[in-house]
Amino acid sequence: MSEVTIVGSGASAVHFVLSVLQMGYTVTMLDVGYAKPETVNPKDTLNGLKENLADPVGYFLGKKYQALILPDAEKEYYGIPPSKDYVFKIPENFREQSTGFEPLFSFARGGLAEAWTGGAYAYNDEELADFPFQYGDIEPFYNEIAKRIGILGDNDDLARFHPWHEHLLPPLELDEHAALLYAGYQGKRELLQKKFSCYFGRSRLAVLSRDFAGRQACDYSGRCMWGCPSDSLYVPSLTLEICLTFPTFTYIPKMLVTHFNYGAANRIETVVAYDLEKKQAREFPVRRLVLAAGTLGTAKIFLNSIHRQTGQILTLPGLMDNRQILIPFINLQLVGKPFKPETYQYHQLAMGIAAADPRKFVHGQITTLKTALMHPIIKDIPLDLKTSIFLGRNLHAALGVANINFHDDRRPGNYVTITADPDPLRAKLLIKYSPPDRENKNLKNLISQVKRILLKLGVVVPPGMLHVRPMGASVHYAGVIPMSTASAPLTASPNCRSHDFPNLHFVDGSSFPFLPAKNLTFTLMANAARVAKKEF
Amino acid sequence: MSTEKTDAKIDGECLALGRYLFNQEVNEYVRDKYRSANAMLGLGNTVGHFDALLVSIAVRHPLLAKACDAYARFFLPQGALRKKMVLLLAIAEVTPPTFRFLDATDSGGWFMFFVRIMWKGMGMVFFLLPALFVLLPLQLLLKMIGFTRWKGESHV
Repeated sequence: MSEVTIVGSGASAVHFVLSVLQMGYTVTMLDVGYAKPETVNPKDTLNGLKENLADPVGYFLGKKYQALILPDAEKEYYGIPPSKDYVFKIPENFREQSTGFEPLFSFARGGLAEAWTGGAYAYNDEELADFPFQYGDIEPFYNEIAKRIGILGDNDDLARFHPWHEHLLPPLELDEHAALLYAGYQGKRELLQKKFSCYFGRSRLAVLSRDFAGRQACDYSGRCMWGCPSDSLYVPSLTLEICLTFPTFTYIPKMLVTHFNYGAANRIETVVAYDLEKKQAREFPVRRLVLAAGTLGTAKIFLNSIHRQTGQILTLPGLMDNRQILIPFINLQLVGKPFKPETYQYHQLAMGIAAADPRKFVHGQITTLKTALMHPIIKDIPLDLKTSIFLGRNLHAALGVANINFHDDRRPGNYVTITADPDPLRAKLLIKYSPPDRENKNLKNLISQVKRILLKLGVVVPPGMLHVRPMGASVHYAGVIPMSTASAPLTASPNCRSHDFPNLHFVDGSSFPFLPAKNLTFTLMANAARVAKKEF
Repeated sequence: MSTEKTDAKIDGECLALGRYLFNQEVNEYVRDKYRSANAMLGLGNTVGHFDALLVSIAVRHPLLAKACDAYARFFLPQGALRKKMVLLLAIAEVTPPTFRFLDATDSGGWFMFFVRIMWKGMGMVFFLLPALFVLLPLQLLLKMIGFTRWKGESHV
């Protein structure tokens, strides 16, 4: 029996495991673990793939055309690339039902961050106010993660919101559009800061600007969205590969964990998984169990376990997610100009809008469109398709999207629970979410403010193209078993040990008591390393 | 209709829409993909009667395609014609040589862009108005007399 058993292989799981492996523990990881396909033509650029692949449509749109976005589809500006389908594949036995929430689940080897865009921002003291620790307590772990995965950033105007930690690499070369926007900001910096409390800077990205630990620096192939062929964009499966080099680590894939069994003094004795290959339940003895199946996955295992043992159906309140708004824009300086596809594809600039209450800081990431597929955008232009294609061709270099993120609080009306079913495999996860009061008004004001900021940079927002994404779309779920200094049921200690089960820890977002606007993944990883150090 | 005839019809549709949208003949690979996507996504056999009529008019001539395209954008935005054109665009943007056409800009800079877009905008209105007079009553009439589904061949 391993000293530690962990469920899940996402960003927080792999960094927790690496930390305890380095401390000498034996670890077993149970995971469904859908694996990513082989990287095709790793030396090709994006356009090289279009030229050289025997079936480019199969690669870019999918064998079943699943990445094709037809006019009757939801208003998204890019579909999930077929090469990332494995990230969102769900076992047929997994059931959920949601109200007011459109969740995404991942059972991939590496979890949801296999499809992230690399935003890696540390939380500051104000954002950690509801956490039972301060920035100074978690800073060494931010430093450790930055050292492990490689994060780039600049000591710019956003450093007042995103703490400046160690081991930051120099930023990538800006593409022409991002450089223009940044220069525009520099020219109107004082005005934007004074009038709109708006600050621009370089995105903090888990990407390499120089070769590092066997991974290559970004080669600007333009393939980020389809899967970085040089591994310069960090994904958790890279850390899992390092964990697999430890003889004290056992990785058991194809296991859908359903619940754990506990005995006297609520001590967990076994964890039960459904073997997806053999189609039968398997039981694993455990000493210390760590749940890192993602907030929703962890909640389901936790609720199922209590229901099986006691017959109680509990509710876990406080589900959080970042509301996101996509604001497409056109940079008038680049209209009619050609674009260079060999660039870093995701966001290179970030923006922040300060608020009187620092917890309400608004975080934005600016993506200039270079190599994204154009048909999802062209189909929404309010002109005939031929004219829209003309516009798309001549505006391609000028297009961008501001992805604006908002914080979220734990509110009792937003919860997860399960259906009563004696078979934990058949139990359904139920999710209920309602946005906060006055959200519409606040969003409207903020959108108007962002439009005015963009206009100052010579950028216009075309009418009718703005998209308020549904809750659940940001995939930044948190908050259902929060860290608390009070030893209350259904909460965790400041070091993420369950207050209900003495040998259970949570290292994913489920234990976060507050969700700032900025991406949580870096903090998930740092917190997991912190829990390993403090509790093991 | 036999499979060969249906395939030939879909190929013809693909060629006609390709000429209209990209000013070029699309290659055999694009036609293959267009054909398989039409079958897989059911773009041929579940469309309404007017929908089918609009596609059959659009493939007859680029000028008719322009009128139907403009009409469909405002009066049948999720109809078969727009779905088929967006499908063809999606295939073309990842396939050589059409992706190079779609990645390229027109010469002339800002001023010429402005002139062209004004010209194209007026063109759209020019084609939309007669289309409106002919197609809108037809669409309403077919709806009124209950011709809501295409009951003939499985492909338009």
